[in-house]
Amino acid sequence: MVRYIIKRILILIPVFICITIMLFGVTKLMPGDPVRAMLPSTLKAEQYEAAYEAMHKKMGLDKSLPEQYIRWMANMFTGEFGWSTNYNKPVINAVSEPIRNTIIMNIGVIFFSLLIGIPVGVVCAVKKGGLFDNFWQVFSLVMWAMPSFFLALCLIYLFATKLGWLPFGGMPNTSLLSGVELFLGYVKHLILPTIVLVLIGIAGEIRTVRVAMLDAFNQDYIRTARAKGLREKVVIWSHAMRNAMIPISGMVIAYIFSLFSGSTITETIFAWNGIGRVLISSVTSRDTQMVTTMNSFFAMLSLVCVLIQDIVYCIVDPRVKLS
Amino acid sequence: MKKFFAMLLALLMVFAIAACKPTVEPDDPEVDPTEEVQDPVDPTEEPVPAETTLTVGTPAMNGDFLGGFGNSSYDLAIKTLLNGYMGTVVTTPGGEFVINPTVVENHTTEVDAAGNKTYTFTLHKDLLWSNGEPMTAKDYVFSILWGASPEWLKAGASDSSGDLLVGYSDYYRGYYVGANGLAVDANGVEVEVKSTETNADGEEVTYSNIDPESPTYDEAVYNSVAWCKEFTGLKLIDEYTFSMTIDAAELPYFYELALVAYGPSPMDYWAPGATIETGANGGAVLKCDNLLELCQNVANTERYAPQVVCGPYTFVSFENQIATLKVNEFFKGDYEGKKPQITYIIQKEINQTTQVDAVIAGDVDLITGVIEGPKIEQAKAAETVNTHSYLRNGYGLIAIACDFGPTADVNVRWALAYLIDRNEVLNYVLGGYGGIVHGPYGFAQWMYQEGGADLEARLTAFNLNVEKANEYLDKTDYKFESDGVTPFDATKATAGSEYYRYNSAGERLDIHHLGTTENEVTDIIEIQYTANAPLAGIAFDVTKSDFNALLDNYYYGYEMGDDRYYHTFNLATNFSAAYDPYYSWHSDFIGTWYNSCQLSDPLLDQLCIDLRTCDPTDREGYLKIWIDLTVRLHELMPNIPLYSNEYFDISYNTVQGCDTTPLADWYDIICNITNNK
Repeated sequence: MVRYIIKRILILIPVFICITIMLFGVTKLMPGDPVRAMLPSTLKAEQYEAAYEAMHKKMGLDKSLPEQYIRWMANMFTGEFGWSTNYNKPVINAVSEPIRNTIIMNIGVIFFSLLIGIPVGVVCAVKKGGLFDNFWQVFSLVMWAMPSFFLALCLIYLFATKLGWLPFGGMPNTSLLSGVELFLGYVKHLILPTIVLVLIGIAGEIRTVRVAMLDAFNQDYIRTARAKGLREKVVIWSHAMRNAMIPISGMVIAYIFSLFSGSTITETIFAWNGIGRVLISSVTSRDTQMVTTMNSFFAMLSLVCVLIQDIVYCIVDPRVKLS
Repeated sequence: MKKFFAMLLALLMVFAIAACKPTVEPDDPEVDPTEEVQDPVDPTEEPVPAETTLTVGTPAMNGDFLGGFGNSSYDLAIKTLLNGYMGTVVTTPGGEFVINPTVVENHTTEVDAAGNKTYTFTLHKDLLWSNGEPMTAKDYVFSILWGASPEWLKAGASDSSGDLLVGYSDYYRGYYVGANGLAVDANGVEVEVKSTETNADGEEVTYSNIDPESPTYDEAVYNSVAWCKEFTGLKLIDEYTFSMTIDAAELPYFYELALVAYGPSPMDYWAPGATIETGANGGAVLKCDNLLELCQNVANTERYAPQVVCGPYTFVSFENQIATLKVNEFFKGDYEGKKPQITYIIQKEINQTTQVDAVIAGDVDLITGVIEGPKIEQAKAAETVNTHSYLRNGYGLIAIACDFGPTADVNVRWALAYLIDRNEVLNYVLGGYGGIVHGPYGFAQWMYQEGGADLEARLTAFNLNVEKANEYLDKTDYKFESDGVTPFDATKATAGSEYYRYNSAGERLDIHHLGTTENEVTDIIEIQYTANAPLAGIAFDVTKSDFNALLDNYYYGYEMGDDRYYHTFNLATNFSAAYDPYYSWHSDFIGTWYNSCQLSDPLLDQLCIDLRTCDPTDREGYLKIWIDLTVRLHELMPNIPLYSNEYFDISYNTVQGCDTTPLADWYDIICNITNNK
């Protein structure tokens, strides 16, 4: 196992380098000059040119592209992620708060998604064709097809505009609130975005679990287990569920990735200062350092998730051999 | 297991219900709002005014709260509340420049033999910083010395402080320039400039008297002897008196007071131990051992969270796109002596789609600059909000490259002007909230308000007219069919006919337009020009990109060479209180991004100079030149004016006194605003 993991990690290195080269190349191809976007237009010609040169040099844009890439990679491995032109501060400072906010939001989303999605999927499979199953099938289809912004606006209209129970969006004021009030402030601001993301998320989850369980129910060993007279609960949770875990484990591991990656649309609509919103804002404002750094981080994270997934497959399914 | 889940869900529901309960914002972060205090009321004591909060909803901020950094309009509100109001000169809500009587006790002016004009200001003695320390003349002088220093630039700031004062160039550059272009000292003696560089073998070599044309010359002078620290046009006279001398080359200037409008910076806090002394030529010298380090420190800390400020509010925090400010108890008052009445200002990011709903529900107290018709209608119909409207001090336009392709010909530009129905643009984009302008002016400019009738009498109120467009195009070289010989026949140019104009070289009349995505103006331009332009034989296409790409092509098209593609761009512009079109339209700036349309015209050049050098007291003369200049720009048509908006500020009905103007945003008149929520 250890040998396998080391081998996989070694393979990841060139893959990661290729991804970073592609990312770096694509961001450099983006039209627009990030330095010009930063400088105020009120400067007179002489000052503008001097400020432009100084900023150009400070950002290392006076170097050749290969030099810039090598410098960027070297800096990245020493924890120096460059300068965000959009936020006018080091990338690491600009993203630390949004990443923390995204994680705060996604912990709740993942918790409720798994809490609701897996049991509902299992029950749907057990009660296939029944009223419960039909309801959740229709529900998941509707949620699957519904754009998240539309659902978000409907919820805002109901709970913020009409009932006035919840805020329109934003985040609690950490300067004026503390302790329990701050916690309740977070809960209040998180309810609507969490509902949106959970409803959209469980739509796929219910269907994945249901299909995996139905596949398991059709296997011979389930028939054998029932023939042996095992209780239905044991058949479902010990035999069928264990075999259905392979696709489900893939889904759960994908949640690790989603813990760090923000939901751009939901974060934007609810003005939640998360990483998805920051990333999209950085793309539109030509913040190349931020875009390349964050995408490299996500690339690395997805590669690690794939590695974990392979290892988990081996654990939950003994038929899968490391070789 | 079932019980566990049931309990867990019940617990979460309790939290959720508790969270939904309306909560009262605590007035003071240090006071526990849950604690009930029931002190007996002493009727002899004056009632303590209730602490109030004003919550303003905006798009995202960048978080740069110090002048010289960033260009976000939403950061500007915080910058102004923290460090505005204490300038020597202020702009009134009507756009007039006046000496700030709250700051300046008295002032004198003097013109020397060379024509340089010196303003001497004596400050009031009761001005204080937010930490309670006195604010004196040295803080004002320091502000310019700091802002104009090369060190401040090296720290990443973009500052133009003192740029029109005598001696600025020498101070900014860091050395004096002799007749031969080399660095000289204050006595005109050439300075030996050394530069240490690493050669190909990796050895450090020191070069003497390096070429002044070398790109490293400035830095080498700076590293050799950082000796030119004297700003001759700036003098610290005594604790409360200082002077600024405007360079004769900049005078006369109609908005002359704007040239001496400077606020203070907290010298003792930013540069502890620094002093201001008088140099050999009588100018101010900042004595400070480690200025670069201090500048970098301010750029890395104060910029995001200014601690010692002079404005009406102090900084509390900026987290998660929420900026929180608390009233500055040491603030003396605005130019009329009024103090702020709101305790906390919270500016936070809200979704622009639901911004009006957020005010109606009381989630935020104020949103500003709304221009969309449906949102305005919604706000007007709501009982819980007030609307306040004002005209835009600017206009929306189609900018044209006047040095490139067919649009270099003024007749083509006029033809394009006649191929759009501007009433349709007004209704489609603004829902009727605005008006049509025929030149580069806004309805809110004082010049328009005083001379609008005279101006409009001299302008052509053009609108969609294909016949006129064809007339103009027939005056150009684009008057042939594809063979470059047969005359173009306008009757054959019908919708879908693909019958276009060509010039004598056989080049088709193509116009490439660049607009931004998700922009209704771009949409209506696409709809109208793709329908109307072919009727005049123009092949018109529209590309949509993001705003940065548009600005890049618009501002820097002149340096794109063969890659240059676009002829027209849609965008909007605002005018500042000191209207000076010199940089935008004078041919001195051809080949720079300032003259974005790359328009060159001798008459226009003269009018630009006449306007800015008009005597400040000659209001009528200025108005006359402004009309002539606007008419000339109309004739040259470097951009097609489309509309001038009407802006709406929408506030919850507990907010009073928010009477914004085209030149005074809510943060400029904060001392007038109350919120009795």
